[in-house]
Amino acid sequence: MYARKDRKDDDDSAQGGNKWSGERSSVLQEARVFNKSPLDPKKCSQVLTKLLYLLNQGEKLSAAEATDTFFAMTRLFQSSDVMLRRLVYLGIKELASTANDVIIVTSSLTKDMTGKEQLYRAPAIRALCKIADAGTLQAVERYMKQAIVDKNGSVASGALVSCLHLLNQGCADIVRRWPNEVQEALNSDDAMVQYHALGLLYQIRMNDKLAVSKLISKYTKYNVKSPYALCLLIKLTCKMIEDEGYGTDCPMFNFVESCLRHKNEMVVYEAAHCIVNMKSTGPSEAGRAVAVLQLFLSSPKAMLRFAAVRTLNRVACNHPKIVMSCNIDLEQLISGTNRSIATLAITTLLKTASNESSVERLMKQIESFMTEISDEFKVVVVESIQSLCEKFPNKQGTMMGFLAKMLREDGGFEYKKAIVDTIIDIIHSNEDKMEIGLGHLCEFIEDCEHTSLAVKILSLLATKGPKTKNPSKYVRFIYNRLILENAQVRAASVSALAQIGSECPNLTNNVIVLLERSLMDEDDEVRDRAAYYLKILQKGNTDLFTQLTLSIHGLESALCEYLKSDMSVPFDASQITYEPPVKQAKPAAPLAVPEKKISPGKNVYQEEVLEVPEFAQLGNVFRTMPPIELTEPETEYVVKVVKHIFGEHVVLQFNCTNTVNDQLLENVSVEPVAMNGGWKAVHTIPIKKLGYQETASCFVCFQQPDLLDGAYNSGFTNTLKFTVKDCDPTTGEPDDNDGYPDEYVLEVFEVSLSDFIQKVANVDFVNSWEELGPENELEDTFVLSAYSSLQQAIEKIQDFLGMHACERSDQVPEGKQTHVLILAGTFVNGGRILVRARLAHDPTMTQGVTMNMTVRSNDESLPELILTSLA
Amino acid sequence: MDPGLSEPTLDVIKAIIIMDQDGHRILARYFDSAGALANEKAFEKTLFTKMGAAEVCMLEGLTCVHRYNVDLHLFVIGSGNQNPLLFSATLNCFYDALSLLFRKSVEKRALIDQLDTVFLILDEICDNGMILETDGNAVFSRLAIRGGDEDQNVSQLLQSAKDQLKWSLLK
Repeated sequence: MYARKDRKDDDDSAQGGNKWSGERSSVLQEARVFNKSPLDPKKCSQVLTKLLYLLNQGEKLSAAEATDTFFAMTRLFQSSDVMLRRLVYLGIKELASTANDVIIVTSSLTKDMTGKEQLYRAPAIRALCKIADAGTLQAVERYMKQAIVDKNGSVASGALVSCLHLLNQGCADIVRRWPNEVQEALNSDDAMVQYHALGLLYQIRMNDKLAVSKLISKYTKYNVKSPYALCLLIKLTCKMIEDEGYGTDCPMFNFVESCLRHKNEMVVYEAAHCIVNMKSTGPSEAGRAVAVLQLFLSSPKAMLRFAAVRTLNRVACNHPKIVMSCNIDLEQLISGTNRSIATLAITTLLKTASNESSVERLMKQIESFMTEISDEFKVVVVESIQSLCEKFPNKQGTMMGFLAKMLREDGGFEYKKAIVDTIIDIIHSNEDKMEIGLGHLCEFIEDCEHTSLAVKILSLLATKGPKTKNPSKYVRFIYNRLILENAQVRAASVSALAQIGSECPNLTNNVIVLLERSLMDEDDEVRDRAAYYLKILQKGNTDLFTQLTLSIHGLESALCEYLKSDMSVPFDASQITYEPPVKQAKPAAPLAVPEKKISPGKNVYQEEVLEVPEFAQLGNVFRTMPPIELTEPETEYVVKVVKHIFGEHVVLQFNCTNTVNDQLLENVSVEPVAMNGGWKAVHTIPIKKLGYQETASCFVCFQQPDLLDGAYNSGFTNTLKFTVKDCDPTTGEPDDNDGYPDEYVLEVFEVSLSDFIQKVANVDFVNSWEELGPENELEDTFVLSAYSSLQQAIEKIQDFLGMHACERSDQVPEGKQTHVLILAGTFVNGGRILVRARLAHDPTMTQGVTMNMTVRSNDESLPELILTSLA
Repeated sequence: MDPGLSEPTLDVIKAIIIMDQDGHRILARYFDSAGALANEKAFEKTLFTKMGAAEVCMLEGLTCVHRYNVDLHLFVIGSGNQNPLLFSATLNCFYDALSLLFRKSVEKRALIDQLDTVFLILDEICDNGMILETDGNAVFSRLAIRGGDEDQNVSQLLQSAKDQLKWSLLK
């Protein structure tokens, strides 16, 4: 009999059902039992469980259904069955958001939360707060305050957690009135109560920096016992250190570091994780945190190993040398059964890898289980491959093969995108691998379900295809897409074909034939593009793909204006003016805004400068430097300068912020004066208006000094000039008077030779060196008396020239007395520069480092320029 | 993969899920509302296949911890930028409370039999994404279980008698 019952149950579960599952209508029907009297608690409990199960399977009730059931449920408060009552609380919480008039149960719940039955109190509080609005909460305020400081831990925790929810339910004002109670709860012996109280206290005071700082300094001294509260406290402390920019010598940091020696693993991990992730952390502090994480790596608990290796993976990006000490432990994790841990271990090793043979071995290992890991980890693998490609240019071929294999396998969009991006990176940086890379990408778009990736690859084919030996090959691939794909991809294919057609004269006629077939396409966009390009190609116009050099904002507003007019005159594009987008300064203490990621390659400032029509004709930006502060951070006017190097000009972008609330600034400009005579300003664009808390940019454009003058290094003294109008601080309306001119002296900044040199990675130095030959070669010997070690001298030279150290020649093995540093770069005029510097340092002598430097270039004036600037 | 410093918050748990041996949902509580059922089901499917027998993995930016016994798989899903040890503590608490409740092994039949109490356990462990308690014994003591013996059917009584006999012989 027992066995038979068993089989029956198995049958049930095979259909995905069990004794609780039921049709929604029949369950609602059964809920009528709630209205029967006398109540049958057992039956009611069963029906209620069925209802909860139904909702849990994802069934949604309509408002009417929910309200009916809710009201029936309120009758169950008559029963004193403990189980039933607890289920009723759950039911109330489940239905609270869909049913109407849920407020009706307030009094029943209030009775339970203050009653004698301890088991009811905490759940009743949580149910009550779920349905409470400001009015109800005010009515039960007294009870809530009592509950927060209740001796019973579950009651206090329930109340505190409910308060946290209430903060987001529009009752924040009331909850903020209870800081004393919360503070008292924080001294509780119960670990969870302490944790919840600290969390709530922080949420209440979050916007008051001083209060938070007091909170931290008080409780970092006070011995917080609860590990959960301690973890939270570490987080708060680190956030404070990070926000305020404290160094590693402050007492707060000492507290975090002391937590590394705590006996609870959770606390230790939290401290180590926070330390390695803080900006102010130096190598020695990070080293101590890594040492702790290293111990976790050999822990029997998978969770600890996972946590540790995940953090180390991140540290490996910033401090690869420190993580290297964990290599042996990481190696052991690779063979473990948990794929997540093994993948993180391998990618960490890849990041710290110092020689090419170990890279190859690791890649083989990772290949063996690529199919088993989730997309998230695959992306991590691809990212580490990307960084390896930069580090070991010789290995790009192997990597490319590996990437191509991954591209063929299954995977989501993010994963494929990461692969495609990496391949594109290699294509851009390495001419030799371009054709192979393009080949892989062509194969990929043959069977690609992601439209955006296909479009991206098509446009790449259009720009890179004509530069290959056999562009017609790519025409075939693109044309295949034109027949087989959706409208978006077809449109991109048409553009790509046209671009190849215009750049390869021998293919133009073939492309015209192909485009003619698209004239009958069913999609408007594809047809339009085909017709447009056909016309242009037939005219023989090859100047087809110059980019639009207009301010997009300006164009938009000008077109809107034009549409409002009667349109009797044709639209005049030259009338478009540049309007700098005025940015509002950040509101104080934003609520957990995720930090905006700025990818290092694309620079927001660069986009801003290119939007200025005056600068559009200067050509492409060669380099954009990171901003330099020209004022102290707390002054009335905050100014930063960003240097943009163009082909023949230098544009200085001054980013100004007005922090005076009763002033409106007009006609704001900065006057930089070069200390070196070779610099001439040719154009200045002021800011028209700058209100309180606004940030905008004014620009000054310089003609670059003559190459032969060698006047690239120059300091600039700066004065901020503007007209001040007093205004009402609250409305920002200026007074009627005309205002008065004023000046403000800014700090000095420098433009140096290194600004005009772009680092070139992935150069095969020896071949390039031979290729350039000794035609334009200059050599000189210097004594660098200021430096006491080779490493120091190398860092300075690299810094000064702004060039890329090839083949990791910037690393000096310890104890060596001579070293060869090789550098590669491109000058702003397109000239290639290669530098070979032989350095020697005798530690027994005091007179510093001797350097013999040879410079080769394809431009005859560059070697001289470099050497004279060094002298 | 590791997103660096995170916001100090108590709201760390995104979901708690129980599945059977075929990856079907028995119970699932998602604390980030407004997720469509289809999305939840899709997530559960990938979770089950990618996790396998592992204890922990990252999925869609979330840290997923896992514990299983016989035909039950328990998962706690937490936000990816929080301390993963918090989630394993929560999962262990859930598991401990269940084993105290079922007395014998944590398995599907027992779970279905006492589903109502399982709902209560879940409610005691996590309130809308915030961890309420991480001690299995404490959770169990807060359940309204008193003298549940009269509810036992004959076969269960027999089994427990057998167990007791076995233990006394083994001593």
